[in-house]
Amino acid sequence: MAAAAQPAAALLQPLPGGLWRGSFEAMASPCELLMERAGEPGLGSDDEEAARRLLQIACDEVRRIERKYSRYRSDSELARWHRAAAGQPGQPVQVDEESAGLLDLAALCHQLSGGRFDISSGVLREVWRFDGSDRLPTPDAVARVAARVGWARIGWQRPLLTLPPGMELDLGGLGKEYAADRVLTLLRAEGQRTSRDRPLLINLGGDLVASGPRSDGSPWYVGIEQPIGQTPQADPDPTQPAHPAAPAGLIALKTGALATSGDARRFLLRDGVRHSHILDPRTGWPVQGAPRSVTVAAPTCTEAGLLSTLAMLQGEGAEALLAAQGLPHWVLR
Amino acid sequence: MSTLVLTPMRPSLPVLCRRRRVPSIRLGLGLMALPALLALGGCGTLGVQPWERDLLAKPSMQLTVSPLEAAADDHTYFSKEAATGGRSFGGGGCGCN
Amino acid sequence: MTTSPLSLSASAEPSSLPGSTSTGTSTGALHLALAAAVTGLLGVGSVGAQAEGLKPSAATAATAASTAATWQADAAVLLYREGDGRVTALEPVISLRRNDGNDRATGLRLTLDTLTGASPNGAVAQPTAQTFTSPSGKGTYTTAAGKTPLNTEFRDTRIALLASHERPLGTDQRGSFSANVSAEHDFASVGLSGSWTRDFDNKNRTLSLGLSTEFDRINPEGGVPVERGVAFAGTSKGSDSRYVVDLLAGFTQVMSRRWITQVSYNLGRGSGYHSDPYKILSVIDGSSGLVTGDRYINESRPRSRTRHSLNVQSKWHLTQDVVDLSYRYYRDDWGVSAHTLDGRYRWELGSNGGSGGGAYLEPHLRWYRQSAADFYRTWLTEGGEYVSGAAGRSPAYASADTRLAAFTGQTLGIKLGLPTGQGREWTLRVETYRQKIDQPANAPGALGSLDLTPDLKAFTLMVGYSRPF
Repeated sequence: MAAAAQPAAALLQPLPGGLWRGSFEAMASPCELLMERAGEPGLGSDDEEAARRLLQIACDEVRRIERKYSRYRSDSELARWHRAAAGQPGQPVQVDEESAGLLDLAALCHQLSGGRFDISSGVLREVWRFDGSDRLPTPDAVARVAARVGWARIGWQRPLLTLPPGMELDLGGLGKEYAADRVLTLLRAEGQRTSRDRPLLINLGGDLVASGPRSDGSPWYVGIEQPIGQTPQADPDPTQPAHPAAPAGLIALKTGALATSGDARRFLLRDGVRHSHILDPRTGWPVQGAPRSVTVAAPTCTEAGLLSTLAMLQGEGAEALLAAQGLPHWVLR
Repeated sequence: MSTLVLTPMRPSLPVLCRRRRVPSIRLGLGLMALPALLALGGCGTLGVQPWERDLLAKPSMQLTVSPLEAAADDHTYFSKEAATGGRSFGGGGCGCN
Repeated sequence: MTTSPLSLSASAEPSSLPGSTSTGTSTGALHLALAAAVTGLLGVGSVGAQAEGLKPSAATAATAASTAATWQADAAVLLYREGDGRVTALEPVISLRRNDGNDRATGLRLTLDTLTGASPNGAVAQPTAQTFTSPSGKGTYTTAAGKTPLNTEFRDTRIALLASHERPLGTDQRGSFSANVSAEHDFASVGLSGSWTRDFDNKNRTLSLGLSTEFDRINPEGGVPVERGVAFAGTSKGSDSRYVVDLLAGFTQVMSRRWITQVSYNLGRGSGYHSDPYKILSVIDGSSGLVTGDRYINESRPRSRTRHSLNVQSKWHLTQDVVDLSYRYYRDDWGVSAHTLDGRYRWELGSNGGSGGGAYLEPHLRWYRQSAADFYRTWLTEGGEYVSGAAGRSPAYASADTRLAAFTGQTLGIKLGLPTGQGREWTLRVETYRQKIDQPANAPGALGSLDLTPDLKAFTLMVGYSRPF
């Protein structure tokens, strides 16, 4: 996304059911924060001020993480690493504590997934365009770009990062979920500081985390529907019947997080074979038999997001992976 | 989300559920996964996934825990018994290399 | 899907949805590993599930590529002591290993070995004292009546050096190469070996192939005795040599999250001098049992030996403890076949979930049984297989070395491991070894009342220390 010069301010509005709903745009997604109201929604009331403050904290934190790790901003920390690698090949660059934590987590996921999860795989975008068309890249082109992928070739010894020439990192697979968890941490701390610990739900473009159940003990009800009708194209896959829209369902979320990987709209169709947009960093080619989307419930949004991504990368084995984890999950094929 | 988000997604948002009105997030409710173990046990597949190597990666699970001890034992038994050999290579255990 | 609201409680112990089956083996290893790591990243309270997850710090440290080089030092001292004033060995060993951060490891190991004491010379006990010339030819030693003759001039110092290098060859293959030299005052050995391993199926299967060669130079005190010649006659040639080639093939299979097994096969072929220059046989009278005629002759073994061994090892990780069982079958073309059973139980004493960071006790049991070599003889009978004198006869091969006898060996040991943090660990191991050698049948005359093959009892103490730096 192009960084807007002046991002729009966050909006706060009351909702029926005793809630404040704050909304803002960040990380190319609509973000919202649902907070339980204390009392009636009076404009200018203390409670509104407090809710506004929470919303501001949330909005600032998400935008801070976005600025820091955006691939599209030349002033991001990520851009600084890439510049350092290009300017002084082979020289390590020192990263701060937060980045080191994220890189450690990325390294762990690379190990746990046998190399399928790889934050250096973003360069594959240079040859893969997922637009529902049949334009597959040539094997040569894929091989050329795949040669620039591989976490194992990146020097990472906390806090020193050494990027080989031509390689790039992309924390997009972690950023939004991490931001959701961070916001929850900050808002809880603020609630304790002001002795107003209110139940809340953070939703960053579909990745969401709840602080706990509502005050009356009831869960947050999250509505579910098929991602159909959100795109002007009809489902152009003639080899499969269109998915019947799942009966609208409700998830009662008491505490913890939900995250989704995948997008049923993004694929390539060639000779009747649907190529998923999930690429295997080890080969540079799409993962065989990847589901259209995977949703996982987990204690933290970061974990839910990583598990759903790792499941997608397993292809045919997505369900087996998730079943073994003992966490609620939904797979759409 | 996937490591390879190529186009911004704009899912609609979950909101508090109001009666009969279903808000949405991008969430496909597929069928529940088959239990992995039945699938695995059923066809007798051996081996583990990379993330299941936590125990195999432990030093205590290496086939030769202490090379020095193994060498000392080999040397001692070689000088007292006719049989030798049999100890072989490492391999298989660690998810770290 | 259900239309009723699904209750998710994604707290410490997320309950599965109705209808989902919990699985038995890999109960959320991935989930646990991630949960632990994410907890660390967010700096929030425990996620609760910490049973057997990888330590993220350790795990990530291990995956970090092209990091700085690390060194590992291992040192140990072995004291081996046999009963009845036999051999005592003191063996200090130090090993240094450097990993360059790209999984290329180079190692150097230095072993010193000091042997003192007495070793059976092969002659059989007699009802009267026996006197022998020492191997150097400079002195004599006397064995008391009824005792198995021991060469008391048994002294040796060995120094051995092993250098090895291993490196990845691409993503799923490794190669290693090593060279070793070892020297004693009467023996020198150089060896080269190489091996190749390849992982298949996500490292669940590993195939290993190796080749090792060894060249030995045997240069005994007083020269190499004439095989089957009369002992202590002073006739000898200077030195001899032996060449050994070993082929190794190993197959490792991860059976489950808790079980790994390995099958390996070893084919060895040696050619050249295989005899023991210091071992003799007694020539005895078939009715009295007393030494007679040429009295003692030098032993003789074939100039080649082909060995096969097949080894199966399995390790199981229980809740915390580890069981290690192995079996080896061995046979060679000298007629020896042997079975070895080895079992260890690593009992984690710490309450840290046995993550490898706590103290442990490891009892060890080993049982070994071998048959005798075709040419093993406790003695030779005058007028039977052996006829003294210039026009005499003797079997092509004969040895009274108890290593070639039929016997049962039993090892009983216990080891204590004591980590002291930062990857440092002390180990202390105490073992007893006992050989019960089969008594020869039909001992003639005076030999019938003597213990001709006394048991060997040995005691081993090993102290080790290892640390990275």
